[in-house]
Amino acid sequence: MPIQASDTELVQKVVNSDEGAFLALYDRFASRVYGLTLRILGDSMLAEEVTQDTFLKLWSRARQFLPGHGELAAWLLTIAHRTALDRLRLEKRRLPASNALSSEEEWMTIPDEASTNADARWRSLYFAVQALPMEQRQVVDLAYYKGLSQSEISAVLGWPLGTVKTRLRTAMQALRRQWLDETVK
Amino acid sequence: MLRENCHPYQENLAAYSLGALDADEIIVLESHLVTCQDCQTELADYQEIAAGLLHSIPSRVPPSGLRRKLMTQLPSAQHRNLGLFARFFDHFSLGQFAALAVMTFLIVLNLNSNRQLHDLQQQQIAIQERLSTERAAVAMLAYPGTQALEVSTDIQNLTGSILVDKNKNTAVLVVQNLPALEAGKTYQVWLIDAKGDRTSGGLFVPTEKQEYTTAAIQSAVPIGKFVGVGVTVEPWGGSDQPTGERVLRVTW
Repeated sequence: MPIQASDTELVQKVVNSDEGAFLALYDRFASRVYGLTLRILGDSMLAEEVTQDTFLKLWSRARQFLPGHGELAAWLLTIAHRTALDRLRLEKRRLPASNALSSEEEWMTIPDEASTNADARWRSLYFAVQALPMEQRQVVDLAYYKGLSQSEISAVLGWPLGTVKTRLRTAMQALRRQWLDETVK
Repeated sequence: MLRENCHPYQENLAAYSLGALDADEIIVLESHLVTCQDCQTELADYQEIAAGLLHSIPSRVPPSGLRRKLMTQLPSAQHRNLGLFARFFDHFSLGQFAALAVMTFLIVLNLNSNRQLHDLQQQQIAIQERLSTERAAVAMLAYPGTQALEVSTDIQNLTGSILVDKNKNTAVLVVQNLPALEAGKTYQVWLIDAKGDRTSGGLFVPTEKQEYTTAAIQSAVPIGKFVGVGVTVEPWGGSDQPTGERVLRVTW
């Protein structure tokens, strides 16, 4: 298996039931999928199960990946996001936003020399989110990583619906200004 | 459209991009989006941020046993047999390699059995997928916003419904008497937006020996962003855009 095989080449081999290619993709993406599912579910056992489900979906649905529609990482993380939110709803564990993990103890562990430009972009977005005021960060977290609607967030946090809407929009405007405008455009 | 008219819609764009807009507000916003370029631009930026949020979560090393556990779930067990052989080599003398060679020869002759085993394991995966889809359908029935919409079709005896919650990214199609496909063909689901653009919602084949076929429909954005769903027959592997005969459709 050539080390430099692209994601698309490996997926094509997975379509043909190549376990080596599947393992290569697992080694390439498992930590990102597990990081996301752990963030959403807040439980290592559930996160492990959902990570497993995500990669089994990669195995059985590899032919559904259309390279022209985006990168494999985005496809895989979208599957992990949906699967984790579905699991969260089934488990009825809509936990409040967790503050257990600080920015320093996570991204700082990644060696700079191994970072790619894409890594740097995602890391800067992470820090941009961390820099938001707590009440804005909470609504983004509950909306995107816990799958709650604005009215559900209003009920969970005991804030008026209008306040939730304003804070969510203000947070996204800040990310648009501080991250998107600076790193993408 | 003047920018001043956008205010009530703008405040919902962020929530929409994160999948957090309440169902009743989705339809109102989407009808505005069709005609408002400014809001489309702002939404596109928010959707880019939402996509970035998936990547922005720092990696975490998964439990060491997960890789091995995952491999036991795959249909072929070739890689696991390699470990078994390695242990055999540790215990066998050179004189016993002849016997081992015979055993290897017999294993090669036994390919037919392995093929049968492979087929059974493929069937097991298919059953697991079907169970997963049906479990999703049952879960969707529990969502308060789920609607069951009847499919329209010109095919005789074909009936069915789609379970859809417009605020969610997943829907489930349940159809009865779906025609079997020729070799090299697959059914492909298309999510249709207000402009008539089609986005693939996944591939599926009729469930063998079952009257009903269920298929999970996946979308990167809430299903309510679209105005309907269609299913066509496409070459195996799917197409970027519909190329084959339409089998059924649902609009809402």
